[in-house]
Amino acid sequence: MKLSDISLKELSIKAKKEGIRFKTGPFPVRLKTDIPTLIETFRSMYGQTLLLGDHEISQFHISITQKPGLLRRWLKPQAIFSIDGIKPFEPYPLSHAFPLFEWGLNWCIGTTAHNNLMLHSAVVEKNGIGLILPAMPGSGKSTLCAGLTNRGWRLLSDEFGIIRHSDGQLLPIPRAVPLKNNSIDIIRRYAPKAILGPIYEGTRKGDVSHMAPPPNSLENQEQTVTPKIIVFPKYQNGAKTHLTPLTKSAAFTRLTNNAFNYQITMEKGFQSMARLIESSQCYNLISGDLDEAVMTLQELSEQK
Amino acid sequence: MNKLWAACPSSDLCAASFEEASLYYYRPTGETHLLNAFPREIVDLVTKQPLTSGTIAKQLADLCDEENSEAWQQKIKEVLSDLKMLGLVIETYP
Amino acid sequence: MTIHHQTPKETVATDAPVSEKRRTLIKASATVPLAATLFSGSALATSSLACMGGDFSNMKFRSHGNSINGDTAVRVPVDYYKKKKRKDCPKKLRGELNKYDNDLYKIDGGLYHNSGRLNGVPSNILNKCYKKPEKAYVLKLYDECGTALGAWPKIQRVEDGGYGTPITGSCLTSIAVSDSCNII
Repeated sequence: MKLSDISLKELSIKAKKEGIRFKTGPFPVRLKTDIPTLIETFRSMYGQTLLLGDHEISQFHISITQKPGLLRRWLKPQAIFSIDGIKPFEPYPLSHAFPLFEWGLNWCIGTTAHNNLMLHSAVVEKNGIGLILPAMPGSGKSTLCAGLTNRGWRLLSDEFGIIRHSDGQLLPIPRAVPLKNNSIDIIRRYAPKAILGPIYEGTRKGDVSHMAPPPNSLENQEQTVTPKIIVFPKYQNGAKTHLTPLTKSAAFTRLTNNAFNYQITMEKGFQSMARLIESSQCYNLISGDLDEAVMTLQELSEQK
Repeated sequence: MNKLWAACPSSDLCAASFEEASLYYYRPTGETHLLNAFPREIVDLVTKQPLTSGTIAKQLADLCDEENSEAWQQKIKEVLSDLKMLGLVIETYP
Repeated sequence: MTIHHQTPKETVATDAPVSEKRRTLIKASATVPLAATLFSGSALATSSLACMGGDFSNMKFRSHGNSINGDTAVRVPVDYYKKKKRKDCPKKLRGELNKYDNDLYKIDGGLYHNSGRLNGVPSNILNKCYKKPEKAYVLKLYDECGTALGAWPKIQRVEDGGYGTPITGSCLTSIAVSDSCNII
């Protein structure tokens, strides 16, 4: 049964009582919440997600609740994130409950799920070719990822490049793509049919709106892919698009610095990284234009 | 007695070699070291057999068509010192 | 590429002739030998998750210094000098001591305080009034063509990432990507 098969009312009741169990990539999650706007947005973003049975074990037990207090309920109401009963963050404005959920779950995964090598990168796939886009914050990774996803690439993830140690395969974890500030309008123009959620103003990253993962991404989230291309993107306003090869040792170094858990995974991490680099072509990409960047990567993938 | 430079025990390392550089996972510390071609060549030389820094300098000078000057020898010593700090080479005596 | 699970001595033939390609690489990198340690980016990556921003500010994990932005920092060993106590410095040189900082890092031939200030310490003072240098790790960045942007504390902050790819990947040291710095 998919999320979208359940009415919003039923889902809200379920979320409040036993919680909603679902899988995001390899991670089974249970979400409990009493915040109606969160449920609504969650359902619109992840409608195609399959629900898990109530007996299924969850890796992350997340609860997002409104901060109690009579005064607090009316004066700047807040949402609190807790994971397995622990509250690792300061409260967020209640209206930002959905971004809180997204970032909170990312944090849970990034800080604990160390049985794979995890890169800080977007990952997309087309024709069996896995394209990894590792990036520093502010590089334009999410915008590029959203652009590619709307030009025939399957979204595996906007945030995590998860490499399975045993065989080097990329594991999908298709989540909503957070677009920030100017990127919101850019993607609206670039992909008028993309589903964008509400705009959350004044977050720590500025204005944020989420692009829903396309249905095929959610439906195929068990389908792994072989990495073949690694591109380090960088948005530069007004820049001519250029793609330059990167040597493998340079890519290894940069990718290590874009990994959540390279050091923790020790020798396995080293070997997985080495195998990844060995099997991939590596590039820098600088661009000031989304369309050009997408076309450049499209051409690159067609050469493989 | 002349000091010799030797490679660290092979069981301490897991290496990934690319054309232009090599990366070494150093098991005792869990760190990953990156060597470009020149220091890598020094490691390769002392892996074959322990050598004095003078011999290393001479062999590399010949390889690179460089004069085996004092400055060149000093360069070799500095690289050896860095490699020792990383744990990739050790000092030994015959 | 080959992955070796031991030091790659098994694959190094004892008397195999050195290929021209290999010779060129070694010769080119002789001018800029690099023996560095990868810097774990996990704190950087994780900080971006919790929207705390993402640069290397104040990351002192096993390195001196901080404040270099970019995803390609590597840790390199440099000489680090600490000033001796005044009484341990020859009398005739003591008058000069206050001109120079207590802690100095040797970067690209210059002696830098952790504020980035360049100290022109005469060699007699350096040899007699500073302790024998120890090795310290600092962060170093390179650009796409392998040109060193610099190391902390010579550079205090590189705002725009600097791209920093380690020098291995460069026009200087590699044949295969000798045109890698040409803009398409």
